[in-house]
Amino acid sequence: MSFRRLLACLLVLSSLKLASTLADDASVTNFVKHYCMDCHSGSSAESGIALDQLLAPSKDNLELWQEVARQVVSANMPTADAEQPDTNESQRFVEALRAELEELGQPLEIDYQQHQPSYANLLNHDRLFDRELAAEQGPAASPPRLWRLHPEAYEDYLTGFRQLNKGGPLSKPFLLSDGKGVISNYASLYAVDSATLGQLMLNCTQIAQLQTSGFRKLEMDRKVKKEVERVYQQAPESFTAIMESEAVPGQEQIEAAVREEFGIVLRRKPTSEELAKFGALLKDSIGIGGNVNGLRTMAMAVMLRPEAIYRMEVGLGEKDEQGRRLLSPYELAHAIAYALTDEGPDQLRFGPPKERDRSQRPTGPTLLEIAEAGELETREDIRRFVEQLWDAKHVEKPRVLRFFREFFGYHAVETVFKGDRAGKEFNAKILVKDADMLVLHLVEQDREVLKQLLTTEKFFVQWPGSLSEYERRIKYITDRIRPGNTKDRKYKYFIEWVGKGGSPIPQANPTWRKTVQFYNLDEKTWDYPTEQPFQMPENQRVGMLTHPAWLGAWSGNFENDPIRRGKWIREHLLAGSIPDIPITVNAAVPEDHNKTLRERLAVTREEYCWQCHRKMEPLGLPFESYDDFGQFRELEGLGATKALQKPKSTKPTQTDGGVIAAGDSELDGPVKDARELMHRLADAPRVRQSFVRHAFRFWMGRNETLQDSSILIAADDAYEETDGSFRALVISLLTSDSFLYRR
Amino acid sequence: MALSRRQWVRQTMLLPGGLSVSPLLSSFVRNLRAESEGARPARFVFVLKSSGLTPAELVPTELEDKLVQVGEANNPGPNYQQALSLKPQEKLLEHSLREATLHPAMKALEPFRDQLAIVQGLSGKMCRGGHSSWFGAMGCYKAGGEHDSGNILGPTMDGILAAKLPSIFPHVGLATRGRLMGGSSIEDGVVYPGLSAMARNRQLPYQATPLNAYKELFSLAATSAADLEENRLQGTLLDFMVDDIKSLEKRLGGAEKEKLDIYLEGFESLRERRRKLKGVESYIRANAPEVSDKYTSRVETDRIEAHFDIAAATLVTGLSNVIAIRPDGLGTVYSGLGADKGVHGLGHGEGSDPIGFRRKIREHHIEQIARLAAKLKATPEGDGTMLDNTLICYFSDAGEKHHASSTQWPFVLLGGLAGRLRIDGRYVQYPAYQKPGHRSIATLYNTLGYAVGIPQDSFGQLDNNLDTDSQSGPLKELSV
Repeated sequence: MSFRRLLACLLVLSSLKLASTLADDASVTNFVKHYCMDCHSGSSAESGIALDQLLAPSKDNLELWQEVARQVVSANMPTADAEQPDTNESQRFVEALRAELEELGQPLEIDYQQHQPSYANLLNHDRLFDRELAAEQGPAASPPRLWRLHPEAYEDYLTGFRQLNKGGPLSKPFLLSDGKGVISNYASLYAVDSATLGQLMLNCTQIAQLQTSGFRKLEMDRKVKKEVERVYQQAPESFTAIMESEAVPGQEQIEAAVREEFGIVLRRKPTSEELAKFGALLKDSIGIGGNVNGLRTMAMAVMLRPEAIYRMEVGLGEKDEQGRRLLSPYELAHAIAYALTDEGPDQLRFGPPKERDRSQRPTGPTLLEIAEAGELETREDIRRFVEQLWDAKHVEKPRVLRFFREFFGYHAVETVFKGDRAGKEFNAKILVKDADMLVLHLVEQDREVLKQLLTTEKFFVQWPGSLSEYERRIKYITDRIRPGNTKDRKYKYFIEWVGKGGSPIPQANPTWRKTVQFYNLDEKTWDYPTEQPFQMPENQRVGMLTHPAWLGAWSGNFENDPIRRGKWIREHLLAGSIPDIPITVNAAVPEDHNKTLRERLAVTREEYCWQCHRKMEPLGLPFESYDDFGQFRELEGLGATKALQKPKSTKPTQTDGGVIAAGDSELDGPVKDARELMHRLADAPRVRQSFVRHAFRFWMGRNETLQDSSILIAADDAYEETDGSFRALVISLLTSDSFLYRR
Repeated sequence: MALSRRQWVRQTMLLPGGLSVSPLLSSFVRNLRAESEGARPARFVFVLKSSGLTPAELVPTELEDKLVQVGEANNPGPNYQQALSLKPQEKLLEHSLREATLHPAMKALEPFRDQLAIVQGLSGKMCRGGHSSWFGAMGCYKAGGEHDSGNILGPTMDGILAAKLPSIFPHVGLATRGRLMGGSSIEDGVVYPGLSAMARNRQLPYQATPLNAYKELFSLAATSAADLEENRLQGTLLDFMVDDIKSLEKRLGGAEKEKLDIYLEGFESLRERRRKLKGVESYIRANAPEVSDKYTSRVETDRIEAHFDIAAATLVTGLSNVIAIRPDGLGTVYSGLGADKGVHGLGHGEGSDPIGFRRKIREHHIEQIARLAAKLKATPEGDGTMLDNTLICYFSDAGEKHHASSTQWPFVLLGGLAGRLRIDGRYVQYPAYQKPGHRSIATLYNTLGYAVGIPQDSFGQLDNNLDTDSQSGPLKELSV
């Protein structure tokens, strides 16, 4: 039910009694009287919402009270031009309201929403970027937290035990959501519950076995042509010493084993207290099950420690005057390593590479050793190592690409089910890889990164990475062609192209060559550009939102999805939000084989629907110049359509749209097509700031709050001052108080 | 001769050093003792298929002319069609199943006709419709979106029952996959299909690998010297972990402490479980399922069968009273049935015979339910069998069809709760949505609540387009 409809219901109620219980609480009554009634009272109340008629929370008006709390907590009400409550007043008001609703068995929705990435935009954008208000906020910090390891980072940890696979398949205890347009890895969203623990224990048992008795397997020996028993074992030195002896190990041996296991698993030395505790466990277990089983039990206990599963970001450093604690060097080393890579800080080395080493791998100390040596303590230290890590060519930084994937959500094109509307030539993996290359290229260029992503007309299409790699592939394919075999399709295609001095697509699979058709390129006649990215066919593409991967990801099973495309723009580029779809709405686009999708979407123009839909469709409809596979089109197929097939009946595509209530009046107004829309958005400060907000969420693993204002403004400044350097933006975030401090 | 549970308890109690002298009488044994003294046990199995449960294909043959019509073209996709649909009824319709001929797809349930109820016409429009109602299907509230299960507003019925009917494993979830759409047909490990919750924001997990489920449930009943030594070591480890985490917790507050609490709870529940199992290992050993290659098979139907075997053994051994089985998701491809399209594709009318395959899938589920019911019926309990005290509910998280409108939400109920429910071979169809006498799915859950001593008259959120009467209280047609 909408705000307005709900109010209409409430107005019918004749009782004018103001919340009796609320009235008892002076802070609530005063708050509503003082800050809300000016606009929200009487028959001419703003938006038809009259709070003077609002009754005490009851089952009949819960939604309205939830909305009041939401508006106040997210700093949207009172409006900027009205008098503002101070933080304490707002807090008291919300607390009182929370207590009232809890009594009715309804938790305050905003309490939950504040921690969910999909509701992060509820927080008022203008307030967040208001420099004056930012100055009034205290210094920023994140809450102390445990952040469950990213699944990929956990896998990386497992690969440290190389022969683990000999013990059978390992389970993947941690899963994340898809991250389609929503930052997935939030610290507060994931905990290790008893079921996950069961999985973890299975893995730990397997690792502990590898470290102790090992896996015994019968394998065929090719030389003697007989099955022989092989033992796969990866025992730490101190373990071997204990296992080889029948005697009960001495104190020194016990401590050595605990120390070594701590080093391997937790990447640190045990404290004296831990040494005593784990030593005692080892002794006890040896008493029960002998040396080997005792070691296995101790190893499992180390592996099951919360810090092996959670990144501990408690803030173990010094307390400052504002009551915040800096992350300790050990915590920092982990935070920095996992911010950009999936590797632990004991894997990342710094310093000069060996002479003549082509890989340019540094041979100096690891990030963990640097932290232990006390060289990771000041903000300048941190900045230095973050910069070095960002610039290190030999280090893979999957987190950077992951951010852009989650921001744009284009990688989800693989999960949009098209059934038999598309053949194998709609190879979503290839399209995603093309989009990945575009992102990585623009990040490497590091100039106007967002603007370029939104407006570039140059794409990569099946590019193998470099000209030399391209030539190697073509040679590899043509070398394998049997001379004279004219029936070979590969032969025909490649020889023809090479013969006429052109460049073939470096793709041996003829079906996948057809994937280029989704870029409106004809694989038969297209001379493959050997310098990429290259200019796409004229006036067809403009930025990532016109990339087939993005268009496919944000489409439905049978047609385009202008609503979700518009919603994406609203939420990702305009920092806006759309309320959840009302329960009573049966959201279905009517079928009519004589109408275009735009025409059928007219159902949302009803006043009740349009309140929200005006924020979506006008932004999404300009992309009607592409079909739901990402192909540019001037005619829209009606009825059931299939990829790359000429539709039976068509109508000309209509590409106009507009920006309504963007929050920046300069952005508002009609647009004639996607090109005009993207160029208008790409230059806007609000769009840039919205991007910064998403980057903040990704790297902090939480939603931004008003206390983070100064951090967001600084990151935005860093980006703008460096002519749109994404590196500068991320480094600003990773050296900010929000990243480094806990409170 | 196989001992009935009651006989077994009586005999064990007489043994020197047996259960009767144990100072820590586990709840399991307490339950058994209560049962042997005449208290009535209650168990639930929820089987939630994906892609809707077709109402028209639950109607007994005799009623087809009266109740079933050729479906109108409901057209979210090119070939999408619902072959048959249920005619909306103005009035409540009740029909005995004792003499009726069940729909061919339900043939496997013929031997259980007198313990069967087919309930049609309930609505669930307080939930999100479409591909899934997620937690709403058992929680009666709006949750989730197209791809994610979303905000968990409160406990779901299976979670509530698990809390009400505690046992060694309060809730056992078994699934073949966690994601609704996309991904591989079969997933492994612990998954979260977004259907069950024990409380607000506390989702319940499902185990997707039958072998892991087996290990978790039955491996504690060990025998050999090595196994016993292993058990002692595990006990030592668990004690150590509990102490270790508790000491870490002292340094944390708020939400982070809570997170560590969840982890701690994991260790504590493992420890608790070991304590509860002391003394009853041999009974569990005797009734544990036999591990076959189905447990590691990559074929969906094999895995589903393994899950049903595990469910039966879990109930018979008394390890749990509440089980939720999620046999498939929209990304499942039933290769074992020869389906040429995934469940999602079939729902959209794709492939060679979408309606036929949808029927085959349902038939396979029904056969598994019948196998489970047969095992329960073969286990004596009290004056009857375990089936008399177990309610199996078969339904879908997507109401009545692939893109559910949720104006209808069919349920097949099998078994009983020892005279506390009227599941005695009846077909009940409630008046259509918004007609006088119409009822929502919340009232069915109220009925279950009443039957086990949770006398609540409302459940979940209300559907604003229905009057309160149609959404409150239990269903009197199913109540005693």
